[in-house]
Amino acid sequence: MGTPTTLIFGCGALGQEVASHLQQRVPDLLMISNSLEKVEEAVEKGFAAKHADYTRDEVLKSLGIGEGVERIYCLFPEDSKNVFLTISARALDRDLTIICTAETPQSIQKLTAAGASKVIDTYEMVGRKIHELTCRPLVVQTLERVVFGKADLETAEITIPPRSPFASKRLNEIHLDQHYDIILLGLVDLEIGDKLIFNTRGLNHRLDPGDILVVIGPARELDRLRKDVSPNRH
Amino acid sequence: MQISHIIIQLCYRLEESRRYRAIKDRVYDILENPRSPARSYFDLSMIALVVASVFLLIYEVRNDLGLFGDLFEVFVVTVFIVEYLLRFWVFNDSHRIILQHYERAQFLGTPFRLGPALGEVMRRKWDYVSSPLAIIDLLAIVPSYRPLRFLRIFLLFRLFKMFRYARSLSEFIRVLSEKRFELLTLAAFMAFLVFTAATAFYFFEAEARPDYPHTLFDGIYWALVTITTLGYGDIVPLTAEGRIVAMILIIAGMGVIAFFTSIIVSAFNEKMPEIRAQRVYAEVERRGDYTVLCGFGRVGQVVAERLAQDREHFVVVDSDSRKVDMAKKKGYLTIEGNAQDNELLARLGIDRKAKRVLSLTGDDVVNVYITLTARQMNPGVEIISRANHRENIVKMERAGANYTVAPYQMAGIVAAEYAGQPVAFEAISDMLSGEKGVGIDAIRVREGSVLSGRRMKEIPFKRYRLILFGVITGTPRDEIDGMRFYNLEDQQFIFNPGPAFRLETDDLLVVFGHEYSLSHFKQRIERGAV
Repeated sequence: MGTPTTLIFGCGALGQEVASHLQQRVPDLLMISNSLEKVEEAVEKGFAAKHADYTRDEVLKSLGIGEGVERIYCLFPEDSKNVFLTISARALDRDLTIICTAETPQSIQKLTAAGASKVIDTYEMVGRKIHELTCRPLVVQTLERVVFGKADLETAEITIPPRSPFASKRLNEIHLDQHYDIILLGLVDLEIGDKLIFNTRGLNHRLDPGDILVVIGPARELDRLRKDVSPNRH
Repeated sequence: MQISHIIIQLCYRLEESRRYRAIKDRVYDILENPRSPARSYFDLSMIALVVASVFLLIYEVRNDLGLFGDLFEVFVVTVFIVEYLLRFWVFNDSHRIILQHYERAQFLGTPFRLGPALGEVMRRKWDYVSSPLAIIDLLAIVPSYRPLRFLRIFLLFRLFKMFRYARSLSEFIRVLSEKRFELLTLAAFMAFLVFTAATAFYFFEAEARPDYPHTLFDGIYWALVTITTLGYGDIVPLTAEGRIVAMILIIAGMGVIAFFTSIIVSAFNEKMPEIRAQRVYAEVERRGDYTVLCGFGRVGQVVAERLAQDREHFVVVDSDSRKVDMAKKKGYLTIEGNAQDNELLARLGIDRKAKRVLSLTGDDVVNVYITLTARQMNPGVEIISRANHRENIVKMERAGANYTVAPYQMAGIVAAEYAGQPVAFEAISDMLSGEKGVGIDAIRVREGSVLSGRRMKEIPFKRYRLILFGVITGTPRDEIDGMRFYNLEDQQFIFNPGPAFRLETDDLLVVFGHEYSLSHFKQRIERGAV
């Protein structure tokens, strides 16, 4: 077994949930916890899990942080553990993607300061969704089933590569919703900035290499678009 | 054009207008919002005005202020009337009620009737007019009207205006009546003491000097003044015997006072939590149509904050006293108690008035229990439950939840999404949170609406700056090539319907855009000119 590229710290309910969603995308992931009990539980459920003391830098290094590991998840229910882990991992590798969860709003700032790339505020998110459910249930259900559910619609981001046939075209020339069965949600136009701009402003952007399109559509159509965007076909 | 049509259009215009909203929010901040700084300035100046006007009233009893007095009175009354009308206005959003009725009718496909909608509008406003504080406000104004001058005494109600927020009088009486037994015992003891002392006083003093205590009543008066440690000194014992009686009475009096104080203090101590809860129940009972939020953890807090923003009525239930304190500090209606308790849920009117139950504790066992209890009490109430573990989602649904939300599952999906496509992830989270003003909405195609029978290419979504996602429909369609169907419960979602797709009555148009664009689009549909 080579060194995994993705590590999940914390084998609790959340860790298992993340692992099961990641499994399709990232086959070589490894779950790590310092609780033998939790590790056994995860192994029983069919995940690759390992017992390790994450508080020691040698252990983190031996797991591949600073070398092969690209991304770690800190999913302990205790914020203090997540902060410690984030600080340790960030010290070992500047470019590592560190994704954390936070129990309290205060820890979000701490985790960000400690060097987390992204802090997921689970409770805020769930609270929002429940609120949405109370006022617009049908819309939430549609999104649930169609965008996040089992149906084959996917959200994807497509980066315009250099020498792409799409480069220097304007948005109204490419008609994603007609030539492909795809809806353009928004884009990152590097001429304007690196922030996402929703496609509701009515601007007719010019696409350049490096710009990112955020689209929703069926997997097959997305593949077709990806192929057309890449330069080597022409 | 029909009147109802004009009203609906007006309502949409109000709903769309940013200025109207801003003005109303500003007025709300000044008059009602307990957290706004403007409000305290307003309160202070109102108190000053009330004091000044009452002072002038008293002064005018014996003096004449002439024109100045009249002008000042007119000014004060004008301010009061404006205040009353503004409070009446900001109490709720009438146009929203009408729109709700209208959109519900549209959604269900039933014809919209103005009568019931206006009825509800009036009922809600009546709620305001009939509230005690509003009545006091009114009584402070009415007597200034000349034909009602005989009500002048009610002008003192202006002083009551200052107590807009202290309505504890009835509760004070109620608490004391709970301690009836102790108070009666004390009263009997006191009566015995007073009577004995009065008799002794009369006996010794009246004999020694025939002038002073004429009757036993003088004795009783003296004994009562002495026992309460008041001691006016208008009647004093002169004989040694009388003074001994006085000394005993003074000592006993201190005991009586201490006893009395302790009864009242302990009564309030015991009853305070209950009084608070009682208030909450009463408040809940009065409002109707509210949400019961069980569990004030992080999820509960986020939901409560958003409901409060929407000015939705809700009541928080939590068994942890620290969380209850937190909720109270934020000004939410809160009850400390276990939501698994049938009685508590019943008192909250789950079986009658509640619109929705949110079961959001961190414990799935508790959530299932609450869900089941609430569902048994009321088959019609909407229940949204939180399932922390994946395997419990099914149980929640079996227990009767309309929707189940699984935090870890959501976090799992999001975390996995972020791994591959951070930009797409941000897009979706912005879209779902609505934080940047963009969001998704579903618009029902009504019978006879301009949308009905239109083809997609005939609707200029681009001009409205909207993105068409798809259509939710119950009407089966012929397949136009490449059209994608996704099954919802008893309906279908058609993703990105082509330009040739024709809308039918009762379809739901799912569009994405800025909230102003959405509101504008809806208004145009109403006007029949898309």
